[in-house]
Amino acid sequence: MSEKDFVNKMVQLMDTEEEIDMDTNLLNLPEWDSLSLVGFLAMCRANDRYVEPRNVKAAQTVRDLYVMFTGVK
Amino acid sequence: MLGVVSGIKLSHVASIVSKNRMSIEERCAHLLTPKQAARLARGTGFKRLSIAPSEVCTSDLCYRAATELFDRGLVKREEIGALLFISEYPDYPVPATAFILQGRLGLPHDIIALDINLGCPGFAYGIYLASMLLSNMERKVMMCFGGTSSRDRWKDDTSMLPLFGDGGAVAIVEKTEGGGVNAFYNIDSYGERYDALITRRGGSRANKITDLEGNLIETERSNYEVMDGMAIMDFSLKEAPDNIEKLIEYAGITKADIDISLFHQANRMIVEALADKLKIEREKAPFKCEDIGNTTSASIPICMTELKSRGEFGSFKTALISGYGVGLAVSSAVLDLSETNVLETLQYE
Repeated sequence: MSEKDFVNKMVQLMDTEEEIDMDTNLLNLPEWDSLSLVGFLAMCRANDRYVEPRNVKAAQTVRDLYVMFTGVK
Repeated sequence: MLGVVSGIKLSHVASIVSKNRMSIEERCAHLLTPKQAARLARGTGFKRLSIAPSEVCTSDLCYRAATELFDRGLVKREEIGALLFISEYPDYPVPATAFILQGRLGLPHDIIALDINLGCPGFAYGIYLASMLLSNMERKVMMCFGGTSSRDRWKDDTSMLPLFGDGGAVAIVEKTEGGGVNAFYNIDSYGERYDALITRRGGSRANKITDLEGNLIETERSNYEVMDGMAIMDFSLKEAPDNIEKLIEYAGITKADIDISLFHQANRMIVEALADKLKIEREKAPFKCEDIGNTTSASIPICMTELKSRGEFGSFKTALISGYGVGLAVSSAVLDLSETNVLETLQYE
């Protein structure tokens, strides 16, 4: 998945009106809340990506999530 | 634990929810703006919740559903040989609610009455236990499911308040004539993770915190159930699909053979992600509780009666059912629902 597609997917998942990019700090996004955290975990599992809940909680940027979701650094 | 039982069928299913429905916006008005509430409802898939009057217990809901089966002549009281109340919401700590229901429903004295403390994984568990009882019984087993869990919610808990609704369900399991087809089960328990979904007070280990008059202190968080949402999502999309994959293999079927997958209606996100994870078409794994909420052990039978109400309950020869959550536990079954009589969802006024 391209970075652009991933950003669009995250906008949809977080249901946010904020402008985000790969370097957006998640901690500044009000929509990066428990709903989005479980939503991201669900998205990973549904796509056979095994991610640990603690790593999702520790993510700081959209790029951190991209690395988790794609395995691409 | 995998297992197989032959010669039983789920013959009747009835369920009931409160006529009173509350929108997420109304339910969380003190915590969220209307915009935030709308986003939450989109995310979970729950638009409205069934909220029963405060004096109504789970057994009251089950009583009404059971009475409907008797009044319509679908089951006779004297045919019942066991009553299982499968719920986390008994009327009293003592005695078991199954006895109260047995007496109130006018069921025979020579029956087995048991409470089984189970929530979300309760439905397939109940069918399995009923099947075991039927191995040396010539009558039918009545199972009662559900919860009035909406009132077990802390007022400031945005993770649980917008998810849980009240509902009850009754199902009958009986022997089939001439043997019949096999039903396959897989039940797993993960007790080491018991605290991912827990009400810490109200049992023998810790009393609820009350004022001097015995009224529950509503500001005390520990009086109410707590959920580690990430841990539950983790479990529902790891241990639950693992359990189901093993069951499908054990039953000797393929996913293409499954006519319908009835997953515990925890929320739309989990139901859809579980279908995707298992590579099962979402259309065959319905989420039908958008106006009811998560009703714990009653959610699968309520999904069935909602399908019936919408004219979508077909002849499901190969059905997969799976419940996952509190315990933590997963219970799943593959069984034939083509002869199951399902009523439309009843409304408690």
